[in-house]
Amino acid sequence: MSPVPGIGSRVVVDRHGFGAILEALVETGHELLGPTVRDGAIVLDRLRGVDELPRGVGDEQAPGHYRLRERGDAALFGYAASPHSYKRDLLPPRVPLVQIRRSADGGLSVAAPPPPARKIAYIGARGCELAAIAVQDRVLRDGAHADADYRARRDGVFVLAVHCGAPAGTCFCVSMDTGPRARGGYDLGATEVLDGEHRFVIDIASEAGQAIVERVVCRAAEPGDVAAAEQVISAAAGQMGRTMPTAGLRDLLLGNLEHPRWQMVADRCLGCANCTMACPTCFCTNIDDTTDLSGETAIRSRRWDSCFTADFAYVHGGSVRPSLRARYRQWLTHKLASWHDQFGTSGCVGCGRCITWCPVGIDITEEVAAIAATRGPGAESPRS
Amino acid sequence: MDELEPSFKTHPFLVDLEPAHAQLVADCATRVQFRTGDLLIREGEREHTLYLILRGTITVEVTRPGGAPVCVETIGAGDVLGVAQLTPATAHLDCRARETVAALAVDNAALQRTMDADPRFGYAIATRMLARTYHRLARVRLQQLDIYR
Amino acid sequence: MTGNPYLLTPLAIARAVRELGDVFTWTFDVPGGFAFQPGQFNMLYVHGVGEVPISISGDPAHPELLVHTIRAVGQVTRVMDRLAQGDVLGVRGPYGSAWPVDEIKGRDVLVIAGGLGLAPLRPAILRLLAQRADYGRVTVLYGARSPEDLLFRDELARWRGRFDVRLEAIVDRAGRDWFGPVGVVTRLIDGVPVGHDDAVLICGPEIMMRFVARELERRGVAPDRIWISMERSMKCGVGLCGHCQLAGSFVCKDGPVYRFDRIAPYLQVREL
Repeated sequence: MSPVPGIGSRVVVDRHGFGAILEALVETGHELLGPTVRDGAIVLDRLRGVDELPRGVGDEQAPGHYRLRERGDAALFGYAASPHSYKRDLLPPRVPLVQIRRSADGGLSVAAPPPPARKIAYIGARGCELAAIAVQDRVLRDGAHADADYRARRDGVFVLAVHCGAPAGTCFCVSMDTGPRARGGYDLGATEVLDGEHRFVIDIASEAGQAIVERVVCRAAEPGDVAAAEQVISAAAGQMGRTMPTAGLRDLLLGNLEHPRWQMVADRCLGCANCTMACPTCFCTNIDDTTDLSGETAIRSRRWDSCFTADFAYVHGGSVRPSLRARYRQWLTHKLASWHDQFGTSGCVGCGRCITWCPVGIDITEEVAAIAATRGPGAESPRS
Repeated sequence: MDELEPSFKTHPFLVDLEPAHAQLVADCATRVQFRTGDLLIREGEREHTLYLILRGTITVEVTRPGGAPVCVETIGAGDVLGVAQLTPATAHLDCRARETVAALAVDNAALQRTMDADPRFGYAIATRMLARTYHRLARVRLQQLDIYR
Repeated sequence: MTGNPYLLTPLAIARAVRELGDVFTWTFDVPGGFAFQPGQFNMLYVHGVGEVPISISGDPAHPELLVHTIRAVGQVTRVMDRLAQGDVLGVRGPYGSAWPVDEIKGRDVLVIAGGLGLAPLRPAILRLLAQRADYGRVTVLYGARSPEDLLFRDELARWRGRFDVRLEAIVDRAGRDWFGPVGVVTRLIDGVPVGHDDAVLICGPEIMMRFVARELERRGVAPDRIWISMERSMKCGVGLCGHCQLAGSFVCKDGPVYRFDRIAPYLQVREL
């Protein structure tokens, strides 16, 4: 048994040691949710162990383009954002909220489904993804009203984060200050080093992380390990596929609501809502009502929705945003501008998913740059 | 009217006219009164008179067969009736006194002659007519939207 | 922060009254009292059909009676129109921001309502009248489509009958048996004194509120002395579903009542 490392210290394990960490999580009752290859993509799914991680797999990402490739090495985390995000786990596409039964005398009795009881560990969560979870926490858990299901799922999640070493062409986490180093919100943070000795330099960030590390054989990180890990992270920071100009971005967009660029991007946009589904911070939902055949039992369910749908916002008389131009503008100005007014942060974490998964390859960094280049006079915009 | 009555001077249509211009209007005007039910303007007739309303309410109505007239607007003190004077037109609505109405009746023909003879006066009157017409149009548009539906 | 915001409270309709052709008022008995601020709304659920946001239109001094005035205009409200005394609804709330009835104490108050907009203003008017001495001049202006569409007509007459309130009503069109003014509601503003320090509360269709605010501006009332009540589609009512957003604001929690200067620029942008 190795000496017990403290919170804030770093340890080193090799690939087998990393596998042991996953086993320790399983032994302590955790389900593992992490990346694995399926159908030509890297998806997030239940893992049984280290062998199911995408070993030696990398990715190519560009606007409207996603391919896996052979890296030619044994890296377990040699790729960037997958089409899935942890949003699928914390804010599932469909969740029953409340069940209402009508009795013979017309009375209603109301019951909420029991909160999901689970013990889950996220394996390989990136800085951008953790930033996205923190963004959604502010929206769905930390406001005046919290979504009870989200809060229950969120509670007690163990996070084994990975500080990125292989950013993709659509990444811009450096611009959004969310990576490549994960900024917090994790129990263990691992950097994969491939400089001849394949190893993981892991920083211990919490008591829960410490308790897992205590169960595996590891050694303390030496200065050389730390330097190698830092080298991986700084190299990644220098390989960003894109940049987003964030200074004054809120005012830029809210001051240019009639900019001709909105129509230009709308002419390309299909309104398919892929971006909102892929985006790890998009949180819009709808509530559906279904009943059984007798009409006695009704269930209200929450399901994913998108501001790109035509009747997302309506008043008596019709849709508030009938044109695709208005709906695209709504999505992007909410994400990059209005979010600041609502929650004090940007809604974007720079993961690049919306760029990769747009069928026509719309690139939000390019759209913002175009508006910034030919901006109108409206740099002043009112606060709501 | 020989001298400018106080009521004349304070009517909103005239209140910031030059005194000389206000007198020119007075020279074309007489004080009139209508009883409840009297028609000031009848649909289809040439409008000869511009009315500056001093007191009382007038209904602007449209008649129709088989039903009571529909009132589309009420006009009162401070308003102007017959703004279409300057164009050769016939009235498209009835304007009926709902109660006793006191007004200054300005003879259209005399006013027209004075406006032709004195272009500065003509301009002052025409711009006031235009402002009134614009505001009336805005009100009518809002009514037309049927916003409470 | 704790609890489940989607749980609703079943309440039975104690009284259902037809107000106008497609407008009805429900009263629910709530023995423990349903406390609310004037201007707030509830989410009302019809079993198996759906849920809609409806402003509370009752007297805040009588929380044991929860009152909602509803117009049958959509899928859920048309089903509601067929419900009767004894039928049970699900209620969640109260939600949203309130008319600033405390903030405007000591000032002259102008209340301007259009159509069904009188219903969300009714709790504020009742509060003003109940604490009459706390306010200066109180004026209520009300515009409706026709004399037959005047909401709460008996109550309007009672308010008018007080000697300490001025109340004027105007209709867009009328027949021969209406002896009041005819025209748009902005016409009524012409006939009342309006001071620069007046507080103005406006509720009605969005077009009406914009026109009225414009007219008030012409009369010298600054936008930070005007409050309006906005409406957007809502699913959750508590700021979680995203549907009610208007620029950086959630109408369900930052509104529905807004101080006009904080929302005016966004009303000018088409399809925002």
